[in-house]
Amino acid sequence: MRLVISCVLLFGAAGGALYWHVTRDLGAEFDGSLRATGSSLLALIEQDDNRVRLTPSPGSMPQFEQKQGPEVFELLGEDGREIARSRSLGTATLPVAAGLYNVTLPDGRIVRCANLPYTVTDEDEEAHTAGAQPNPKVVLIVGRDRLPLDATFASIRSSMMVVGAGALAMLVLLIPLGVRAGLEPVKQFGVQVSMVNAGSLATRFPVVTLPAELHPIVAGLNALLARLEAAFERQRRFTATAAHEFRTPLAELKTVAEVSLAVPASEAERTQAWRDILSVTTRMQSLATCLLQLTRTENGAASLKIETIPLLQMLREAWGPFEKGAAERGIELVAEVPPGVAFQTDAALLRVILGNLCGNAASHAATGSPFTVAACENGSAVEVRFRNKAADIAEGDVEHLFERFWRKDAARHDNRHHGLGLSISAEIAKVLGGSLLARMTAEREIEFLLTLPTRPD
Amino acid sequence: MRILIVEDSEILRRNISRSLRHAGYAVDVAEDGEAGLASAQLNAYDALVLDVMLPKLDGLSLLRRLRGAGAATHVLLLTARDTVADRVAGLRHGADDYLVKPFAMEELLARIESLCRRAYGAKSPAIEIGPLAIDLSARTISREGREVSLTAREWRLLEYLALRRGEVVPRAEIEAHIYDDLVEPMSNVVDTAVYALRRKIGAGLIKTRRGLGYVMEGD
Repeated sequence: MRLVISCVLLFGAAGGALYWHVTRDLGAEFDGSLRATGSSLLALIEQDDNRVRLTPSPGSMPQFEQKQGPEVFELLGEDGREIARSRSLGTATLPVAAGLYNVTLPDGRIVRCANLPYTVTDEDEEAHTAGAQPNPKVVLIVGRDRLPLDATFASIRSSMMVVGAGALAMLVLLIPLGVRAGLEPVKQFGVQVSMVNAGSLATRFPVVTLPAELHPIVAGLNALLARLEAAFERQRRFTATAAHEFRTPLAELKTVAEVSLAVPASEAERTQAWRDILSVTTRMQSLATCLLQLTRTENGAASLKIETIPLLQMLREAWGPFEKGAAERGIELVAEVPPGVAFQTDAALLRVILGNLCGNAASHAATGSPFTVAACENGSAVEVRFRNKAADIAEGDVEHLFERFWRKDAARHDNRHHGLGLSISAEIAKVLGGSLLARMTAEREIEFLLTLPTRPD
Repeated sequence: MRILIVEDSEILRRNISRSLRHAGYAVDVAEDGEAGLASAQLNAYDALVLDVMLPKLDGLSLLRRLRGAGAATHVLLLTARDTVADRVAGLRHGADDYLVKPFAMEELLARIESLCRRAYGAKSPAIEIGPLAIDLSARTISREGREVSLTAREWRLLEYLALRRGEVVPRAEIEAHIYDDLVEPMSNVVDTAVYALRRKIGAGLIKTRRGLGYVMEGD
């Protein structure tokens, strides 16, 4: 509808402009011709014995001679006194106005008039001797019936309106049909898109069947579906894996409860049952906390609180809880961190990364081996390398280190090792604008490289 | 019946074995795959309860090695993996049954009981030997309609001999199936147990084959 209205308005404006141009040009031509006629009349003005006369020869200008003829004239002296008039004017007089103007005569004719002032010159040179009278000035009003011109205008007007109306009618019929036909593939496309749901994210739309203008949209939509499919698949795997991780602690709780109810127990056995329940629920709480932390970090829900953090101090704080246990295994922290190295970042999140890396080293480094942490500034970032001898990690395990729930010993069940620490640390590093990578060195050491900007973006 | 539980979760290991002992089974435990394989190769078990995700040697690898060595012990896989692919893999590795965690203890007991019956070709839990009516599921025994009360160890001995009725069962085998690693069996403990059982169920049902062992018959 808007398109139709727009076309109507456009057609109307174009038609009006065309009509205006045509009538203007025709009118100008009419006026030019009128002036030329007036000039011809002026050429016939002569002065004789100080009398100005306009006497066309009979038959030379028939348009002025017939009664109510198509052209009229009136010659007036400087004092306004009529000098001559055309027979076609009859008894009417032409008003005097400047330039070109329209006059309605008593008989109803509408006449276009031209006011032509003229100074009569005497052809006899002797009249210009000293003492002669100045040349008289006259005003010639010449007019022409506008009826043919106006009829032409009307004809043009009606023709344009008929043709325009016909064209508009065709447009009103054809535009919706054309638009409907052109949009049919888009409509089909819309139906297909509306049928996409969480279970059909593998759908991809063929580009070639749609108009070229829609290709970028379809390509973008296909890319969006690919991202959604990957995200849903990640979520599905995560949910399945998380549910799997809860099965064993749930089985433990259920077994403890059922056996406690069915089998008579001594006081010591009852106490052990409660200890078992506490141990399992503590592990489940730890797992749930890790999962929530991972989800929040991924979704960027963690709002960053930026402060200046000296790395060496935070590293020592992170190592603190593990120091005693590590010392029993002969594992010692060797910090090669210049005192001036600091980050402007979120302290709580950085603490999580350092805690996970320190905990991993304390638990998994080879007995009696050092845990070395070295930091150096590299432009606007700081690179921190965490290195320890790999007790039971092989080269092929490195690519799995950041996978969720991956553990080298897949069956280990304890309160800390859920296989999520490195995954969480890597996500946090991304949130802080950096990265966490791992590699095996030639000396069979596992090295984690944490790169963080010294300032947030 | 003697059962081996191979499960790395101490809580599950402790509580399942406690429940099985209460039900009259002799129970041995192992906390990793290697220890479980060693126990299974060393002793004759009536059934294995085997976790899949084990340290050192996973459950499916343990099972594959057992079957590869020709062991026909019935195995119930106990695992958190519940997909069809996981079940199919477990059964194709040689498992006889599959139970997903978390499970009902009652169901575990029933499945172990079924496996133990199958170990001796018994389809039904009810056995009649002479005047004795034995219900292996309900763990009851009656003689000519009168219920006979047995201790847990006596029941294990009766069950084992009843399932192998008509067969001469060597003393060493009885010892291996009745006693778990928690008990240090003495040389005549089987004879003592048979003597005590005969007094309760009546003479003539358990016969001594000198130098060979014992046989339970209804004649």
